Amino acid sequence: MQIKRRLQINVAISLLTAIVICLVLLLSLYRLKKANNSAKIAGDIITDSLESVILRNDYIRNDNERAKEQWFTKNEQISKFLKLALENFRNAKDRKNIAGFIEDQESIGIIFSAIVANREKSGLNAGSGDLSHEVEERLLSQLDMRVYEVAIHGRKLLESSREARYSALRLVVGGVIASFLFIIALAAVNSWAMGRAITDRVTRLRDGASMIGGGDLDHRIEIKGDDEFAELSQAFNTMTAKLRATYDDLANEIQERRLTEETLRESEQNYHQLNETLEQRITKAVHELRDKDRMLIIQGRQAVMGEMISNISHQWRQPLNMLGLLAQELQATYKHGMFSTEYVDTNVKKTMELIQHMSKTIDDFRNFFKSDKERVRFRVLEVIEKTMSLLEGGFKAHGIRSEIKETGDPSINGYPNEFAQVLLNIVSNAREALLAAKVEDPTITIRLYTEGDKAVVTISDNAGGIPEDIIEKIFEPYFTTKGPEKGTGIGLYMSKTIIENNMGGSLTARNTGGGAEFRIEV
Amino acid sequence: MLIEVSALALAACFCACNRTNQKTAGPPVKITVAYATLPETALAQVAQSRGYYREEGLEATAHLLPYGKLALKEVLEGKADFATVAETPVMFAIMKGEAISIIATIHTSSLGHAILARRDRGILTIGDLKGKRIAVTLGTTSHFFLDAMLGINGISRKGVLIADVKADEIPDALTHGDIDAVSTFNPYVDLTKKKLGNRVITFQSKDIYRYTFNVVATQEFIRKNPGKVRKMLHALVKAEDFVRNSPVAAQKIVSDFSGIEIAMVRDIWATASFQVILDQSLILGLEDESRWAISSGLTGARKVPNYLDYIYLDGLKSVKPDAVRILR
Repeated sequence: MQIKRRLQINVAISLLTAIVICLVLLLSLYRLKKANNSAKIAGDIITDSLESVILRNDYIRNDNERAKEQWFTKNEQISKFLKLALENFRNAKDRKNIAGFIEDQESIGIIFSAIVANREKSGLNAGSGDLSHEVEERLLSQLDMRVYEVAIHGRKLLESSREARYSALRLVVGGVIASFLFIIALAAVNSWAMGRAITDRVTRLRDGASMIGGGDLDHRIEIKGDDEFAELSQAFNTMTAKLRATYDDLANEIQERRLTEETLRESEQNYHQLNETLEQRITKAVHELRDKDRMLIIQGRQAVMGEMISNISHQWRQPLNMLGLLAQELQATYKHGMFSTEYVDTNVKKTMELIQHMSKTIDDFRNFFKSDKERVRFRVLEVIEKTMSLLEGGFKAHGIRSEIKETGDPSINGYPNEFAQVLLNIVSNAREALLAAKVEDPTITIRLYTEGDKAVVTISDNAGGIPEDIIEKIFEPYFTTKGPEKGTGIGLYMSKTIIENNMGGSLTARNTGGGAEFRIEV
Repeated sequence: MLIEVSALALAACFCACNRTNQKTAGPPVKITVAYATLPETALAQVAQSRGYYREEGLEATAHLLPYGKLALKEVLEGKADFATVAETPVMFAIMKGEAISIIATIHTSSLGHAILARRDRGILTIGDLKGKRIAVTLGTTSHFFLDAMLGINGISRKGVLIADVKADEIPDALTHGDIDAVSTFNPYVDLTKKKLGNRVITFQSKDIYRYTFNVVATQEFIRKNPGKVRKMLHALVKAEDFVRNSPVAAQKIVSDFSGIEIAMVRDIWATASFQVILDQSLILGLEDESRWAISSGLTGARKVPNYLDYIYLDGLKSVKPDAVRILR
């Protein structure tokens, strides 16, 4: 049964009990009223009986006719009351008592009539005539006995009335108490039953929840009855079933994820292995590349050295010609006899000067190619001028004009020889471009200035610029536009490496209006 | 709380059981009861038959006698401790100076006495009894009844011839002797009627005589044995309950005990009240009968005794207080 229905039944029973109490009260009031009526009748009878005794005494003592008539009237009235009592008192015991009362009352009437008859028959007053007197005495004794009996009957009627009133009151009190006890008992039983039902169900739910909470998703709560707890248990079971399904899905997913993780872990291991292999390969490749770079640098240096040798040859051509002329002049002077000590001294002096110049040229080139051991602070302009002085001979031979425009005299930390090699590469490329472009008034302009705390060197030419489709590739290794006989494709790559990796600066290139411009920022 | 209620219930049950099966400690006390084997002594007979005396610790010896006057004689002669007897023999004994007391009234009735007359002797109305020979057991209720009936009907005591006949000989006396009429009490009224059939005419009145049957003992016995009296009364009260609750069974007991036909017992039962009481009517009756005895010259005493001195109230007061309606 549903708890709601139980509560409704409780309310219905309470209402029913209230109705019963009302009915009991009404019944009790009815019985009380009836008992009061009975008591009044009994009281009237007793009063009338007492009055009849007084009237009888009045008659016996005074032979009073009025008293006799009143006695008979009173006796008749008592008889009527007794008939009324017979209607009111329904209890068998009372009715038996009333029957005895009526019988005694009739006897009283008969005896009193006999007394009256005895007196009238004898024509004498009481006390006159032995027999009449004796008869009257006896009749009066019998009468008194009956009166006494009547008194007892009356008392019983009063007791019965009182008992009836008590009974009515008992009915009220008993009925109300019984009703309350019934309600209390019912409430207790109902509460006990409900409590037990609720406790059982709550316990089942709690245990079920505990088991399910403990992980037993296959547990199902036993469903008893058809109350709200049964519905709750059903809902709980449904929820558990869904939880089971969700759990299974999750378990499957977790399994899948685990497998995926294992796969990933394997992949990661593979990746790590691969990575390690790759690193090793990269390291190897880097080493190889560095070896290549070294080779390239060596090649570059060799190329530069070749370039330098070419420049040395240009530098030496003039003094060698001068030496030749001095030797020819010495021979001719000797032949013409103009040979003198002063002349020889002058000639030797000039020859030695030329030889010293050439020796210095050799020293300059040697110093140029000397590797820097450590970083030093050097003046940029000095390195530019020295580099340009090495190239001066070659420029003049090809009619190339070079100019240095400096603003300030910045110094930087780095490797001056390597910086000079960079300049040499860029300027040499400009010279090659100018020679290839065959422009009018080929010019190489070197600008030196400071931007913030950095020294900036730009080398620009008017050879028409670098084609846009290759400008992004010119710093890549082995990229050259000169062909295998003239370029290795290493120069600009090596220069960018020196400026950016070794000196922490930057090397970029762009096209200006008439040519290319390389920008070194250190 | 449940335990408390259970304990109370058990205790109540225990007490109730104890009360129901209560036995008087010690050996039974011997008493002798002289019974008039008449239906009027039904309570005493039931108490005897159902063992109520024994339950009260009394070992009762029964002396069965045909009517109460003889039972009283047993007490007066010291042959019995208690007698069941109507008030008239008691009145005579007291008037004679016997120191006896009524312990309780056990029967009250207004019917039970009758004058039976032979029609063949010309008796058709009660007035026809004048000058007739009427048998009666002198000193019994039937004697008083006869005198009352005659007086009410204007017949003087001297207007009839009275013959003293034992109660149990009354039926035969009317059948065979020269008796014209008899005044007697039950069961001899019915026995006489049965014997003569339609040959008798019956004169009865419920209005002129209310008689009682009582338990009587000597005052000396009562003084010395108040416990026995109380036990006796307890047994009689038990019998009263039984008679009230099981009238048919009680009638059977009485029929068996007294040897009276059950139908006759039932007839008597209908007009009788079997209650253990002591009420004012008893005194009124005794006094009335005393005056009658004095005026009739049936006793040498000239004065109506104070019957309060001959009624033992304390016994019944201690056993059934509500039943004592006599003030003292």
